[in-house]
Amino acid sequence: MAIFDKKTTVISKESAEEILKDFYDYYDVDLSILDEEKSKSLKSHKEKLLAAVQRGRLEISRDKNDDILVTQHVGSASEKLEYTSQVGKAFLAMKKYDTNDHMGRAYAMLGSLCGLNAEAISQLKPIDLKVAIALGLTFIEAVM
Amino acid sequence: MANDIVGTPVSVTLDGTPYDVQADANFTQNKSKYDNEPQITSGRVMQKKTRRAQTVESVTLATNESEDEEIKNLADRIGVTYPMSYKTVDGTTHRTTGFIKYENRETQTGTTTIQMIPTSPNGWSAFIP
Repeated sequence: MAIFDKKTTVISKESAEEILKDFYDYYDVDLSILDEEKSKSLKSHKEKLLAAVQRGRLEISRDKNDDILVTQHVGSASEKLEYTSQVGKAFLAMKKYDTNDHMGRAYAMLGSLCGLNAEAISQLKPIDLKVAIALGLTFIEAVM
Repeated sequence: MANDIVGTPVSVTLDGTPYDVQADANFTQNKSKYDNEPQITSGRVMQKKTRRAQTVESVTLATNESEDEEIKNLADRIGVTYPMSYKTVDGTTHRTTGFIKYENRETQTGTTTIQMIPTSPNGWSAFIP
């Protein structure tokens, strides 16, 4: 059985917010000072990420260099994707995609961060893809 | 993914950087963990199992000088392993953590040939989302 069920809440919203705060602090994202459009978009992604953290689908931790490591449990939770913080390299992986191709760029970014490829991300099941897209767009909007 | 499609690998990602693959690339996948040999005795034949690395060889990447430099630097990196993956044309993404062996670069065709060598005990695993 998977470590989580579809609707199971593993941790409280308050704890999940605290965990997610470390992620946003690491990338120096302060939603309160961003312009309205960008802030609205990031808030929408944040809600999805928050739910994923609450249900145990997403883990935020630190690696041995004290950099942020985001782990996404996918499928039946036997597979996991570990997104490192090498966003500079991941931006280079996005260069093949048109600037208006937001999904392609998000997939390329996530694929690079977890050492796979954009196609692997695009093959995720909808429930995992939703979290991945929120994460990818957050990475892009947070850093750019 | 189990289908009958074979041919040119789709892509290779080394430490988060994707590379194109030459159309005629023919990766050699050494998939099994053991090299099995017969150990002949005066009576029975024993099985000698020698552990081996599950390497992927003849990985021919299409590179410009800059990409080749990145790959060379990756091969020369000391003390770390990194994520590696490749996607075969049937849609399967194989992934592992390990290192590469830089073999050579052909200037005429703009190709860099490497070996991918896993360090994890389980070798390569297919990513099945």
